[in-house]
Amino acid sequence: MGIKIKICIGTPCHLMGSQNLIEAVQEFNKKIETDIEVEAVNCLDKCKGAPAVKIDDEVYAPARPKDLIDLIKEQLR
Amino acid sequence: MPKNVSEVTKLRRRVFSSIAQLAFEDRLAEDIDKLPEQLIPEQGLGYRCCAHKERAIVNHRIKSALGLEANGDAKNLKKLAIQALELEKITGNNIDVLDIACDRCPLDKYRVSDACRNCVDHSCMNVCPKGAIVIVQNRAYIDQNKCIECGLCQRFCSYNAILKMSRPCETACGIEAITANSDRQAKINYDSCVSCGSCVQACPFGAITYKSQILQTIKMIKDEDTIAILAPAFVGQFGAKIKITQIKQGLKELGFKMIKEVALGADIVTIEESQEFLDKVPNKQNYLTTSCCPAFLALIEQEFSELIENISSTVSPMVALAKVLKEDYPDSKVVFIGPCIAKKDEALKNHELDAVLTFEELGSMFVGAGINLANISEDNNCESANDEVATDDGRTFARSGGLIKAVEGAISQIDPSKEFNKIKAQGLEECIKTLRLAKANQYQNSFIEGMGCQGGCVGGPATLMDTKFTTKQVNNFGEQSNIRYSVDNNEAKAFISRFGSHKFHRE
Repeated sequence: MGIKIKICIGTPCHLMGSQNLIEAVQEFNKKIETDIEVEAVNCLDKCKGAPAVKIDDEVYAPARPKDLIDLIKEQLR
Repeated sequence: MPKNVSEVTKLRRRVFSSIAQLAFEDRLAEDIDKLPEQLIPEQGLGYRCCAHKERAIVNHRIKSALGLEANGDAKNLKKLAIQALELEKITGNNIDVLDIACDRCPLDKYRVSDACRNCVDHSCMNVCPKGAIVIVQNRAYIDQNKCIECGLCQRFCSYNAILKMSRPCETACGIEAITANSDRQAKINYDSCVSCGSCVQACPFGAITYKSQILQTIKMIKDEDTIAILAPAFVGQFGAKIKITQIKQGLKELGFKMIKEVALGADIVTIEESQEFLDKVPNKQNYLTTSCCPAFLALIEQEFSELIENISSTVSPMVALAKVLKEDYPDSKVVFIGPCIAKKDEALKNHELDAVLTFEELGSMFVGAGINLANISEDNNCESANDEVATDDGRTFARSGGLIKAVEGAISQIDPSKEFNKIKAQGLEECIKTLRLAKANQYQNSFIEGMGCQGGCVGGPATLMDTKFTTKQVNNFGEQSNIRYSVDNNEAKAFISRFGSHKFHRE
């Protein structure tokens, strides 16, 4: 079972650390066997809650890399 | 720049973006009073005791973001906004402690933790040269009046039960310019401070901040022709996928009339500094130190004044480029954009510069103006990497070792037989060690490159990306130039012959 994650790299999200989210997912991906497909996107239309992430069809606003990994773990369960 | 964007950094950027948005939309004075509530929700952010305290602190953050002194009265934001809009020039110190936000971290350096088992050996007590350790309630206790902070007890405890406490701001400062006063409040000693910005990054309470020039810059780009000059560390700052043409186009959309790379100024500096080395070393002096990094320059001036003669008299790339732009466009304003807070101090001493922004401030301005660089087309009219605007050597000035590479390259083209010993120092602590050796006459025929930040400018306190990543980006960007050596940059040479070498030297 794979998950598709879109991480916004638009300027508002970049300033709020979206590059850290991408790194965190890549690290996590190396550790587990499940395939996570990461895609950098230009905007998820949630600039106020930056950084924005889309997992499957739902948009989230994980403040820290750890919050995103928790979200992914929940999805994998 | 630490790997992860911290929560206090995010808060500072939110404050900056909000100010930028209000300024762009011409409703700063009207709506600034609503900002604290927008930035700090009713339930608070969980940093402090309550939302009220957080909002009181955010008022001071806003005040500093307006370009005003962070401390003092910050209740009436509307009044402060009007005052800031009328501000001609930033005055006073750029970096300051927000007194209200300083958590007054404990001073006691060594403490005994729960891990103490009150063992039979009591090696802590035995090793203590001052008899400062006693047993209280079945546990070792350090009498702080007797403790001389030698750290022996910590080293000898078999349970690692003794902790060393240190204040993050003091640990981060390479020159001991920040200390606690009697009520444990952090205070900066401005006679020693070189504005490197390490403490701004280090404080986990976000209690140290710097004055922003966002508001003054927005006013400038609205009212006058304003030129943006981009420090060589700009490549990759807005993310791995954002191209330099997108950054430059973004600047145009903000309202800047022209965008220039400071790497061109770096080429001018390389030509002048290599000539200076050839002329002065070893005839007049044993070594020459660089002068581009304002923190390194201030360090020599304040702590090693006997070495001043050995500093290169060449101006920094920022000043060199601003000087030629002011000749060609005398009615335009020039704004430097870089990774550095110390440049704000340097600009105050050079009338050619009208403002200095950090990459963080620029990013916040993009957000405030609703500009998303990712949505801008890469193929636009802006100068790209292969356009002959600067050389490889000029572009790699941004990383540690870059100045050595450039000046060595230039000298190899002029006089390959010249003896050229390379000395490199990055971070203030290493700079101090190197300058001590210089003072002890340990260097001959040497070129000393000093950069106040680890990794050079790419590791600056107001960068948006990791140091390693930007170093690679800067190196690649340099390689894309068609010209290798600064001495082969015709535009730089033309400027020097038009205005004369003396224009690019400090008096």
